[in-house]
Amino acid sequence: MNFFTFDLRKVFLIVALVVVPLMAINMQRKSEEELWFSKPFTFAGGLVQRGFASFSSGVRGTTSLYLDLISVKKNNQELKQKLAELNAQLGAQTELKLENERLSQLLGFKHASKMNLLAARVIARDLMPDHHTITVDRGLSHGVQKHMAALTIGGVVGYTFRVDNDSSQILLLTDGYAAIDAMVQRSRAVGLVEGVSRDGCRLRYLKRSDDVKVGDLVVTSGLFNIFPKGFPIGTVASVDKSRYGMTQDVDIKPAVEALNLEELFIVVNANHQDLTPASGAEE
Amino acid sequence: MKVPWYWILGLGLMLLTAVGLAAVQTSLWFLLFGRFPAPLFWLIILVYVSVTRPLWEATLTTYLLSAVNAPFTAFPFEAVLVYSLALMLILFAIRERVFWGGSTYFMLMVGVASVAAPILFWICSRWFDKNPLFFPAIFDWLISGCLSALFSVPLYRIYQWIDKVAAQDAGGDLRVGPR
Repeated sequence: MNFFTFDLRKVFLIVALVVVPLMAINMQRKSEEELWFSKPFTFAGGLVQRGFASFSSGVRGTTSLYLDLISVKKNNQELKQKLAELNAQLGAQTELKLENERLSQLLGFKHASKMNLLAARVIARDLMPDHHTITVDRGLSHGVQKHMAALTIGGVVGYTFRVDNDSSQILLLTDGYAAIDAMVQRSRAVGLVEGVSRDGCRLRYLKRSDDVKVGDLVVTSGLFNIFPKGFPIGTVASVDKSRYGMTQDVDIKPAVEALNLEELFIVVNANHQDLTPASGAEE
Repeated sequence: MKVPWYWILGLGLMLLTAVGLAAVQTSLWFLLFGRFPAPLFWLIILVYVSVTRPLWEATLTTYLLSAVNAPFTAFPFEAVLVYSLALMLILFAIRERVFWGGSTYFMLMVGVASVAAPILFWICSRWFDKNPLFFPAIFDWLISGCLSALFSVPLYRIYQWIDKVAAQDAGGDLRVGPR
């Protein structure tokens, strides 16, 4: 084989495998400098990397958002539960506050009055929708007897008509069976208050000549010392004076909505208390 | 003569539930819902008695139910008795004409009774009272009637069960209406 005859392919191979790497190693090139031929690859690589990074960031973002949502949902549930608990507590507190106010008023009334009063709590109402009675948690064992007056600060409620050992039924002023001796405060005209419906009662047996006007206050007459004298029953809503006849019928709006009551007083002894403005100044 | 112990037990259970339900209607419902009208449990029981019992038994049970209900109302016992008997007879007469049984029929009869009850109450009040009822509390009766119809289905099941217990005297033959 002749020395000058050589295989060009081998030469290229030797150059590529040995010479170029040696040359590359020995080149005095600053490391920061980017080779011209690598620029497109760097660009492409960067593009792909940024794509991956963006994708990864998106996935991480979505995942963390989802995880956050789960946690937010959980927090939301906890907060809702807490809010409900606080609302319930607030409701109970408000209820207690209202009850406290009511009881304070009742206590003040009891102290200010010279009547012998027994506080009672309403526990039941009548079986029939058309009868207006309530049951209270005080009975014979507490000193309650039949036909004792029931009242509250605002006015007359009714009277006891059936008494058991530990409870009593009170016939409300508005019941058809109720009858309470009453008088018109302004003119002192005397009649009998009878129940008509849940929202009203009627003053009967007033003489035709008796002076009664709409808006007049109707009070208890204090007969038989069951009710204190001059305690409000209601106000006159209308006056029916028929053309002929000896009496007049007067509709009354009760001073107290008895069916809404939760607590009341039973008058064990009215002690002849007189609450009419003239004689009741001392009360 | 053989004493019908199971029948007496059934009757006793019915009266016990009547006392319990009257207490629920007048007290528990009132304490929970205030003035909102309560279902008329006494009416549901009366309807059950009227549509499932022979006349003699329905009459006897109505007497006992009147005694149970009277202490819970201002309506005097005599008036409650006449009122309940009249209502029972009306329902009994309807059942003799129209009857197909089951809870749907019972619910329907409670609805009919809810309409008849205030009218009859008004008539009784006109008859008995010195100061008669001028106009019934229609809204209360209406709401109570609807609630009674709703509550009638579970109560029907309970009373059917009580009847099943009581029917052991009659060889397990359950009473379900006219024969």
